[in-house]
Amino acid sequence: MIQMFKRLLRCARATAAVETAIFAPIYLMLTLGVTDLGMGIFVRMSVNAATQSGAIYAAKGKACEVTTTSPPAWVNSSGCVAAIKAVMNDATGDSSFCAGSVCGTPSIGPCADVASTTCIIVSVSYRYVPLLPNATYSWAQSMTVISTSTVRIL
Amino acid sequence: MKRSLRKCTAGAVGIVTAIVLPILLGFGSLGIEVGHWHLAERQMQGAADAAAMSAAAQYIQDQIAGNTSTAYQTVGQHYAGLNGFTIPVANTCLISVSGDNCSAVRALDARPFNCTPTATQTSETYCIVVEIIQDTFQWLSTQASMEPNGFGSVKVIPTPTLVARSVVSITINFSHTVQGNSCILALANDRNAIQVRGNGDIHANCGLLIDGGRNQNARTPTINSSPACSDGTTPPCGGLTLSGNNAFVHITNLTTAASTAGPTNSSCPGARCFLYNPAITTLPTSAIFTNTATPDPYAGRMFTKPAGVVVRAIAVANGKAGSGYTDGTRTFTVQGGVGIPAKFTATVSGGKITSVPVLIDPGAYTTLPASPILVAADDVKGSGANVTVTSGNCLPGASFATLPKPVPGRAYCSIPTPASVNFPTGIYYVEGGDTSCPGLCMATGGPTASVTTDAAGVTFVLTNVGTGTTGPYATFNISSNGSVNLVAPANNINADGTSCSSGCANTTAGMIVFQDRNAPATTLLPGGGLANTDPTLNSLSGCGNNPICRTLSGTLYLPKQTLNFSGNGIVQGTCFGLVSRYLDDAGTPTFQNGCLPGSTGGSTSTTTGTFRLAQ
Repeated sequence: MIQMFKRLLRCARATAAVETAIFAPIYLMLTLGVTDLGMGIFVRMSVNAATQSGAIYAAKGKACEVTTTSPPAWVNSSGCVAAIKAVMNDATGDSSFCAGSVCGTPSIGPCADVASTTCIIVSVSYRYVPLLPNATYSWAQSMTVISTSTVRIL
Repeated sequence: MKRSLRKCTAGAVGIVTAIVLPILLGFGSLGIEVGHWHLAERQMQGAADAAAMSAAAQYIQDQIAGNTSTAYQTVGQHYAGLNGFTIPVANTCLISVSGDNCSAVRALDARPFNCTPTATQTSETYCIVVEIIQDTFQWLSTQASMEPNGFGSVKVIPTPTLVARSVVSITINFSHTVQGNSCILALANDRNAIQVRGNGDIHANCGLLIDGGRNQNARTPTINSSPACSDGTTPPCGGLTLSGNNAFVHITNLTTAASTAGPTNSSCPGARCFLYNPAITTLPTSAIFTNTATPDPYAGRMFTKPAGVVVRAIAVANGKAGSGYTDGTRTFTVQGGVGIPAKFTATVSGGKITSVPVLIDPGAYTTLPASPILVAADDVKGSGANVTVTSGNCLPGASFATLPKPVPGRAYCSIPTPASVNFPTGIYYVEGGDTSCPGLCMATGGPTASVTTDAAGVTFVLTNVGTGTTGPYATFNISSNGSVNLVAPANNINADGTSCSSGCANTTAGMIVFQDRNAPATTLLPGGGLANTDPTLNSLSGCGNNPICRTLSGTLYLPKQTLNFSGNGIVQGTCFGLVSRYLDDAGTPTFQNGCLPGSTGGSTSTTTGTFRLAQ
């Protein structure tokens, strides 16, 4: 048994394979880490695109025409919210992006800064799960990516 | 066991990894960084859009409220901040027809603005621009990972400046609702846009409109900026001033764009402000409409001057009286040249022209024939007569004593009418005036004289000589005690009086007098009225003991100048209107009706605004 082990140590065959086996996890971790980072950026962009498109649709979209009465109200509120979510799905290229509670209900109400004005706030809260387990890299951890877009419409 | 290090293959992967890993890390992190720039750009664009739309909302609200402020800039800044980016106030700017305040934005980003602002009587478009700019930085230490080992030429890792721009176009619409009949519209943004002084008393069975508002004659740069109005109130200023204790008005209603009808204690409502009928009843506040803009109903009207030159005088060339013409008084037409030919009459005796030719039509030439010029008789007989002509841009002093009958469509330097004359239907262009008459002068002489027009109507266009906008510009004066009965064409006509159905070069329907908008403007109406020599003074006076001597069925349109009334005549006619910058009344005219077209009365102004993303 010991003889066999000593022979193995002396054996110079397939050293590359052995070394590759040693370094492979390092490469793999690096590759997966970069992939996670890229995916993280992609998720942030998607979330951002969703809120922006949603906010612009909320401000100008056909289904969301706003009456100027006080307090302001969406002419067709339920249709408007559905249309905003559809636009947000389109912006991310994922037809089920807004599934569940990912896309918050867009809120319309007085702006915080100036009296008698109306603002729309569209928000997204998206759970991002990386390929690598948490704490492998500081940048690749499960997190909730949040984005809000605030537009004054009146 | 001795083995050469060079030959040893053990640990090769480790060594290769040691060499390749920094490069991989470097390029990998560069790739990630580029991805991060895209993320940043995406976020910046969204923030810029949100900020621009929010600023647009503020601007529209300001416009609807009649304010002009730069609050949109701070709103743009605030909403860029709410969406994650801190920008200076100057990064939000406005583009309008009168220019922009985007120099700071241009300095950051040289891309042209995709925006074409416009302004008409009923709508204006603007663009709000928000620019967000951010320098990139080494988010990961790519530079450090590449450089320490001196990896040759791969040293410079770009750090581009990311820019995001949003352009939102805004459309502001003005709409107007008619409220009643009016006959006089003064456009000046001044408290005495209509001034009644001395013993003046305007009797008008129709309303007075005054708009120093947003639609015309607004003070630069904006109506709400300083200077304040002459009585300290906030613009728009346009109002009625009753100057002195003996100045009155008797009217049906009064409409101003300003918040008050005129200076306190010398305007309406007040002790000298009455209804037309019953004339002893004080004008009720319900007949006074303030904060109500009235756009110039004729703002889109235009005229087209005849081109080129006219023949001023004609003489028979020496020894070229011709032969074979039919004896008697013949009408001859000048031959050659390009344009409408001039005509004259002359006596023919023994087959030759024996009298001095009398010009009856000065023509309108773009190219005058070279003298001596052949002429053709009206009966196509005879030949050989030659004339020489003198020419000019317009026919001076066309008193119709020398030119027997007015010819429409021609350019006259001035038209000092004789006591009595009738104008055939058509458009008469009065260019520049001259020393004896500054344009259209109807000094009608005694009460039996009369100046009339064909029932189909005429328009007198008061303009300058030639092309361009250099003065002087013609004005008009109607005075003396004879009657003046002028009718405007009901529909657009051509210069020669023929009807015009579409694509008309002269849109003068309903206008008796159409003064060029390039004419010099009255900038200030003194309390005592303009000097007689003022080039912006037009006057309507006379009538003496013949109170019903002015029948004006149409509009006098003087958008830049002043009309002065004196005397006590009654202005009647089927549809009178006056649009002038100022109205200065020292007499007691009576206007029996009014029907300013397009806006036959005071109007309620509604302002609405919309915006959309443009870039």
